[in-house]
Amino acid sequence: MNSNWREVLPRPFIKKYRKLLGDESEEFFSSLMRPLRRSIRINTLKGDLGELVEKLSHLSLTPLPFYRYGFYTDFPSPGATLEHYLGLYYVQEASAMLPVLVLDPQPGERVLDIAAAPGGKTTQICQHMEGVGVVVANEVDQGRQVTLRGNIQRMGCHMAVITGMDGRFLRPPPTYDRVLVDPPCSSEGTIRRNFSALKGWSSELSNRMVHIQRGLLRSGIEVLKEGGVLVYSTCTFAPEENEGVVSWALERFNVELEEVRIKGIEADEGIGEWGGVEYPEEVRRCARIYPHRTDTGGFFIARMRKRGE
Amino acid sequence: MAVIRSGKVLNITSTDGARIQPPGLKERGISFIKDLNKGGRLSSAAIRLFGNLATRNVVELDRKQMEVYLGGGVIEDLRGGGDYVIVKYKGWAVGGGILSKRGLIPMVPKAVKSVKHY
Repeated sequence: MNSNWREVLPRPFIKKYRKLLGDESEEFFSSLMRPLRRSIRINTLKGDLGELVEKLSHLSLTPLPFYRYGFYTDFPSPGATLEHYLGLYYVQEASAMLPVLVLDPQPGERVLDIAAAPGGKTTQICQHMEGVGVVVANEVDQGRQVTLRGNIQRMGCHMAVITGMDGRFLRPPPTYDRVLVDPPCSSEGTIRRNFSALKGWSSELSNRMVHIQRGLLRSGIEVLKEGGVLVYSTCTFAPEENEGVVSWALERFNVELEEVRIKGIEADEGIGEWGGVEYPEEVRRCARIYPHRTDTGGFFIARMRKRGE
Repeated sequence: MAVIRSGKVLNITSTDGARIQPPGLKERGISFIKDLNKGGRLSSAAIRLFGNLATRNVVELDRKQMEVYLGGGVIEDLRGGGDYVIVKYKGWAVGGGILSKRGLIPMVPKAVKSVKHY
């Protein structure tokens, strides 16, 4: 692959993120050209963490600095091992492990993952809940439901329940203690893993995504119990899909943002303004994960709590 | 933990997983017993979860046999009278199989074909 970002990245993309990142932008663009380190999440639903680490020693594991179940691996094809088939681990990009860490699901709770396929975060939620409680894994796309089901079975997530609704049309009663809204997005943060993510990129793409994202977030808030926690996350850098969507929700629903800071990873705060639109001050409580700072993929994470009436 | 029947399949799920009634419900938990109409057999997911606890009806494969098993072939040097067995490799319960007169017939999902390192 051509590693010169000036020749590879679309000009409007460069222009957009020069504006957002200023002096740091060249470092940011260069980081997008570097391949991602492979990482896995060890599945403690299938055994004790220490024992599993020992059994997987042939994968040359290095612990992630921010997550005890996450490890970098130098093994060239971690998705093709017997241990992977047995569900002892899930191949998951390091930054993609963060939303569930921020959601912090607890054993015994009712949790909804509103756009669940392929199931990386769903199975991670089940793991954190230690098999106690229920995780409703919703996925509207029938083809993607097959992958989701396969991963739930493989990882031994007996507490997962699969539903096939269009997540935008879920309505009260508020049933869930926690909700994860990780909607489809322009996927700019996955460029290092899959450069073709840029294929369909255009400056209009984010605007199209925003409608779906707002619909899913609205549903997520409506089915969340009072006092419950919702995490909204995307794997894109686009402010329209991130702070823009969160601000839209803050204006319309009885939710407040909570600070997202994760020990062991350098996250930026949410931005206060984009494209002439000022966002509420509290949007700074969100976290932006940039690859040039963390050597991971890119992510945006917001944590909301639903207030009482 | 709760057991739920859906047609020819028994699934296992959590107590709350059995109780909740979400719209658009497709499946609760993971499959446990399949083919109830034919007497039932442990599903691959259940074998991967609980198979290590089994002490009877277990067959341990060597590397050469495992290669045939993963490829979906019949392992001719293991024969029996049609019993369903749990197949282990290096101590891991990897799936099921039928010990027939022809040999061990693998009963594993297609996903097993992705396994290249064992």
